[in-house]
Parts: sequence; structure tokens; C-alpha cells
Amino acid sequence: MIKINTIIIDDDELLIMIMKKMLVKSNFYDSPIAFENGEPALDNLKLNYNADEFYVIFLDINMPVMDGWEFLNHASKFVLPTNTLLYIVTSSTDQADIEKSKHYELVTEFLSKPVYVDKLLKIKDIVAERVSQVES
Amino acid sequence: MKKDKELFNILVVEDNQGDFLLVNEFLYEFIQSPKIIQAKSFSEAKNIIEDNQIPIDLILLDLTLPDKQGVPLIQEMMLLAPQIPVVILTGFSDLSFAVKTLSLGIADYLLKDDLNAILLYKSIKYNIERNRNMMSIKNSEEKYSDLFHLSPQPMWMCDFETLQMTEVNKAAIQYYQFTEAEFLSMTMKEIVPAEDLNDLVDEMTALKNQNLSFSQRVYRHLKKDGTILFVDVRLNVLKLKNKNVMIVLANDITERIHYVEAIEAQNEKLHKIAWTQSHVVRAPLARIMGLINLMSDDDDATSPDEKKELLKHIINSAHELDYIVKDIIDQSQNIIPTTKQ
Repeated sequence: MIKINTIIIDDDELLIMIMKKMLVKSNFYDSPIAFENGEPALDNLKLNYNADEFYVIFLDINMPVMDGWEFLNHASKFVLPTNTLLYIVTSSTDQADIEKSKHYELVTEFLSKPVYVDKLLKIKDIVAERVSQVES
Repeated sequence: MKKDKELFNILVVEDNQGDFLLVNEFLYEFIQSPKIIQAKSFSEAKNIIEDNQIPIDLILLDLTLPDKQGVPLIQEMMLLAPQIPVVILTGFSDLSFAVKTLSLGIADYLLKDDLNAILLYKSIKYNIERNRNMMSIKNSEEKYSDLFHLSPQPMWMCDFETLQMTEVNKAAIQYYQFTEAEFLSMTMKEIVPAEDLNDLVDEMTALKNQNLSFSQRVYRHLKKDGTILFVDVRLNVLKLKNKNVMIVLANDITERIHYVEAIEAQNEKLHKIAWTQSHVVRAPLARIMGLINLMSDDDDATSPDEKKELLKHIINSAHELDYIVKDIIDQSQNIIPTTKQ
């Protein structure tokens, strides 16, 4: 059984709390890890990233210290799109940001805050499908 | 033949009473009620004309008056009444002299010996009519000239090939602050900044190559003191005395351009504010939406204490949203255009 890591990167504590509750309600995998901006998230990944595990990352864009784009620049160097689903989660979405995100193979989709249970259930389905592909 | 009912005021300058009576009689033959004024000398005629009581339509002039005769008489008379046709009556039959008088501006030359009523009437009628037409042409020419010179819009004429200025109106002088003499010593290139000269060359080339007679584009022009003006320049190429000339109309749009620039800058500011605000506003709103969603679930997974906690967060986020909206209102007060004059 492949290990599934859920990572939330957001500087808004309350939104992390909401996100966590939504994840619980949708019976998402093991408890998520949250980071307040891109830097600690990147440090953690550098240490613990394992190509044999699966990753679901919810990434905010506007954050202090290291924003979502910078995180993507660094993470793209070693995080593989084959074992990762990365969702950019923002409070409001600019068309220019969507265009920009197309340059990153790692980005799966743009989501608008808050992310509701029904969306998480759909993501769960995708994860399950992807994991089964990797396993077989 | 019916008598002419038109009113004619005719000044007969004739010192010979017999000749005067004869002319008088001829005049009445074809004219219903001619107003005939007699002057017996040049000075008498001069007084009547200068007095200006009666608008004189035509002068019948004898060439041998007691105080003036011949060419000097004609010359003085032309100076005195350049707008009134003068018909010479003379007993002096000399074709070369007659031709000479015509070149001095005389309307007609009649020999007293050959004179009859119909000849006199025809000459009078024809010359008055012709004079009226000439006057109206002159008036309309003046009107057109005024249209150019008194137009409130800067205009000038220049040679199509050399761009040498040939005529310039008052508005242009006022606007560009060059004197008329300065203007007329310049070409159109001299009011265009050096870095924009290619635009002018391109426009002229396009006119020539495509054989167009009209063109329009916006230029930067230089005032005498070096100030840059934005002008909408419209020009027409036309043939005048076998030369291609251009009539150029320059419409000042400096203020308009500045105004548009100010509006664009303001729009940019507004765009930025709208964008950042939508982000800032959306953050607490997203929280509220998420929290309400969590609270409104039917399942009993959320304990009453937890719900209280969630409600507290909703209230805090609502306050934050309220504060942000107030801030936006304050900020939008600052975008009122500053360039308004």
C-alpha cells in the first residue's frame, strides 16, 4: 500500500483549520501536514520526499517569506508529477495566474477557496485511480 | 421697347449744356425715371461723390472739363471712385487713346458724334450689371479669404514639394507664436521635432505614391519657445496656378491627449485596486463560506462547543470583511482625478 501524504501550504490559519475539517469530513487519507508558507514546506519535502509515495499538495499563492510561485520553482526540480497532485488554492483567481501556472507541469488544477467536501471527494477518486496505476 | 423701370443714379460730368441736354434726352428714352445728377467740373463731381448722399451707379464723363482733362482726369476719377463704372463721352475720335483709357480702368468709351439713345442705354445697362457681378465676386473672394484668415483654427498653405510656407492665418500665428514673416520663411519641417520628421516624410511619400489629395494624422509640433503641442493635422493637396500646394489645418489636441493620459493612468490605478481588493475581500469571505458550510452539515460530527468556536470565527471574519470594505471606500476617495484644470 502506497503512503499518501496530504500537504497544505497557506498563511491563513483559519483556512488551514477549515481545510482540515473538510478533509476529515471527506475521509481523506492520513492526517495532513500544514505549513504557513512555501519555505518550511520546501524544507520538509527536501528531507522527506520519497518517489515511492504519493503526494496531494494544496498550495496558496499569496504568502509571506516564500510565495506559491517560488515554492513551485524549487519543488519542480525534484517533485515528480507522476506521484503528485498539486492544487493551487487561492481566494480569488486572476486569468494571468492561470496562464502562468500552465508553465508548471506539476500544477494539476486551480481551485477557489473554500474547497468543499464534494470537490475533495472527486480529488480522492483521482488519487485512488493514480495510486492503482502506480501499484500495478 | 418698354422703358427700363429699374432705378439708375447716373452722374453726368459735362460742362457743355447742349451735350448734357442731349444725354439727358437719350437717357429718358429707355429708362423710366433715371436720376440724373449733373456736375459741370471735376471738383463738382468730386464733391458729389465724396458727399456720398446718393449711391451712384455709373459716371458719364466728358474728357474736357474746365478744371481737368484727358488722362490725368481719368486717373483722378479712378482714384476717386474705383467701385463705380466710368463711361467716357468724348468728341475726340482716337482709337489708340480709347484703348489706353480702357487700360486705365474705364468701363466704356463712347463717341459723342455716334451717340444715340439705344447705344447709351446698352452701355449703361451692361456696365452697371458687369460692375455688380464683379463686386459680388470680389465680396465672395473676400469672404473666402476671411474664412482662412479669421478662422479660429490654425491653418496655413505650403508648397507640396518643398513644404515652404506660403500663407498662414492669424490663429496659427497666435498658436505657434511665430510672426507671419518667420512663418513664411520656414518649411513645415521646422515645426516638427527632429525625431518625428520621418513621420512627415512618410506621409508626404504616401500622398505622392498613392496620388491622394487628403491625409490626416496626429503630430507633435513645436511652438516657437520649444513647447510640444499635440495636433491633429489634416491636409488637402490642391493645384493652384499650376503648382501643387497643400492647405493644412492643425487642430490642437494637447489637452485632450493629456486628459486621455490622465484617464488611462487612473484606469490603471483602478484596475490595480480592484484586483488587490478582490483578493483581500475574497479571503475573509472564503473563510466565512467554509465555516458556514462546516456548521450547516446535518451530521452530528460537529459538537456544540465546536460549533460555538466556528461561529466565533465567522463573526471575526465578518468584522474583518467589514473593515476591509471601509478601507476600500477610503481608498476610492483618493482616485478622484488630479489633472482636472
